[in-house]
Amino acid sequence: MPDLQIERIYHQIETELSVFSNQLKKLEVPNYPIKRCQEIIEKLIEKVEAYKDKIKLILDQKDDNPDEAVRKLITQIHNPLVRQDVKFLDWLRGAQTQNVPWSFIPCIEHLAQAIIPRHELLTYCANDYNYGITWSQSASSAPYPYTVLSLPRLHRTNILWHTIIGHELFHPRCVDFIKEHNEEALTKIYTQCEKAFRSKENKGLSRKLKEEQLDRITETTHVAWCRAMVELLCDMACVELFGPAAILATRAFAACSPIEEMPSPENNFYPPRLFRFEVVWKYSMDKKKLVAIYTKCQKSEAIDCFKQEMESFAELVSSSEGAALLEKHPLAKIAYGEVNRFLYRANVFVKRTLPDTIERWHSPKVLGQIPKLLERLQKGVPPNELVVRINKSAGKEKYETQSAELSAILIAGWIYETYWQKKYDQDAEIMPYETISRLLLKACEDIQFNA
Amino acid sequence: MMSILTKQVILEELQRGKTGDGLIVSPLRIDQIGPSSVDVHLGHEFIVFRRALIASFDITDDKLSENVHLYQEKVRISEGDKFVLHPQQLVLGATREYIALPNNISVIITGRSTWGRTGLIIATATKIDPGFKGCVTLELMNGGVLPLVLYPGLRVAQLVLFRTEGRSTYKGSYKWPTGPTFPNLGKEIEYMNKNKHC
Repeated sequence: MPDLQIERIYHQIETELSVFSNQLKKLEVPNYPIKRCQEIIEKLIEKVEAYKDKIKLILDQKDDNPDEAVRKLITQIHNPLVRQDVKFLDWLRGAQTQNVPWSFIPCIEHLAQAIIPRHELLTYCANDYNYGITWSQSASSAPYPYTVLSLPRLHRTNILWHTIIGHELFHPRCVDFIKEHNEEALTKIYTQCEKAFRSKENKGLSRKLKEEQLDRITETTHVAWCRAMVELLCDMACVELFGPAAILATRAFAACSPIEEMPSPENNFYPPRLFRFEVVWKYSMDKKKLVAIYTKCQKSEAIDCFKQEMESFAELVSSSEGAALLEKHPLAKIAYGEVNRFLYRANVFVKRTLPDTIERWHSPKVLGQIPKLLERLQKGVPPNELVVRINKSAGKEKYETQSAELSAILIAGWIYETYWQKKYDQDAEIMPYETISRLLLKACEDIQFNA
Repeated sequence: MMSILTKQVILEELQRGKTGDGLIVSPLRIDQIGPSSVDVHLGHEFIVFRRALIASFDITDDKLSENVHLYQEKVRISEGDKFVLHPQQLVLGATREYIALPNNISVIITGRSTWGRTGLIIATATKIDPGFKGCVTLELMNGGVLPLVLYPGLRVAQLVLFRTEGRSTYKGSYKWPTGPTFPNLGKEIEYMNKNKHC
């Protein structure tokens, strides 16, 4: 019987490896915006060869212990192939040049090298209506040793939304914060849960059952705390990098979801959007620098629209309804009570962890660039650079430019977007949204060229 | 009378572009500006024709305009990678530079003679109207006998700028392109049909 089973499993695995190999070969075309994708394919092809060698070894020893051979074929070849390696086929297909915002990929790479320097990034567009990042520390699980960043496919060229990568790329950095504060938070959460649990009537439950229930409640509350902390840390990082662009991008992305949705197992304990907005507005947004944008830019309808949009956001978060909402649920109250205790530390951690090599939105350089880039965009020109000096004197001719910073491009883009949203129906001459995106993408391409 | 702009005048126009509605060529370095022209580079995008999926190129074919993606494909070549243009092959490329012309300056784009001598024909529709904004689509054709290897960033063409008599606004169908643009056949068909009924 094991012999027949070995044969069957061997043939199945052989087919799987052959199909996997063929798919990889089809993906080998030099059609990626970064060289790393080709390296991944090469490594996977090497892995297939290693699997084949391993199969040979297992089959050579099968007569000694057929059951063990079956187990090895399944656990060492079949499972990693179908559970982990196969994922790369979709990732690589989605990472091909025509499937990603290719002009923006070098900017993502640049940011990733600064924020998560030890991670090798693979950016792809997925069918999910979401941004996501996946990485693993363990060699036995995909996408080790890569970090996979996904963007929503239907919004491939919507670069304004891609401001959210500032949030995603910070995810791996949150591990350190959680590690540092986890025990303290867990102890407090346990104490709070115990207090709440004791105050309730739990008659009829044995001591053991009571303890088990308390553990479950503590665990759920802790998961909610953990998830909230991670998301808030990443939101703070995004705002620290891109300021109002981060806020407008997150708000635009969340426009189709309920912003008051409470954390639950169904939504992976995501904190309510409204609460997230309140936190970043309170802790991360430098309002004085925001006013500096209004005043530095020449008075225009675009600036008025942007100001209105930011004021409406300020009004949305002013009543702290998101925080109040969480107070109503006993476990959320405990989890978010702990979250609130860590927010100041979280903000300090984010500011300290983000490298100085990235020009942040509130730096004098970026604030100085925004008005000029906005002017270019209003003229229908990519906001890629600033003309610093022109000398026309014969023999001394000079034409000096300064490359635009990514955060300045995105903020100028968002300022124009707020104007576009208001004027689209009224102004027949206004650029289509796709054109705004293309001009911004072109700017991102050019800044890499200038660099 | 139309006159070709010299380096100093080009710089003056660029100065105007910095603050108002003057000339913009971007990205740009001083060494691209010659005595009476501006050198431009080949961009990253190309449009290649898929011959297998089209019987002939007939603009009276109703489906031609809407099925443009069936027989033309956009290809993106990364920095340092090559694009091989075979003898007699026509592809569309674009300048890396995005230009914005004021309404009294027109441009003629010409191939650089270095490339002309290898058989590379850079552009056939060479005139750009005042008021145009965008990357200029280049009709790249290998008229030589050997395949030519092209790289993004090659200095392939130059812009010769003229001041026009009077002012004009661009009303063409190619608005704000940032790469090579598929031909707008719909407009041609519309024009032909309109004149047929006259």
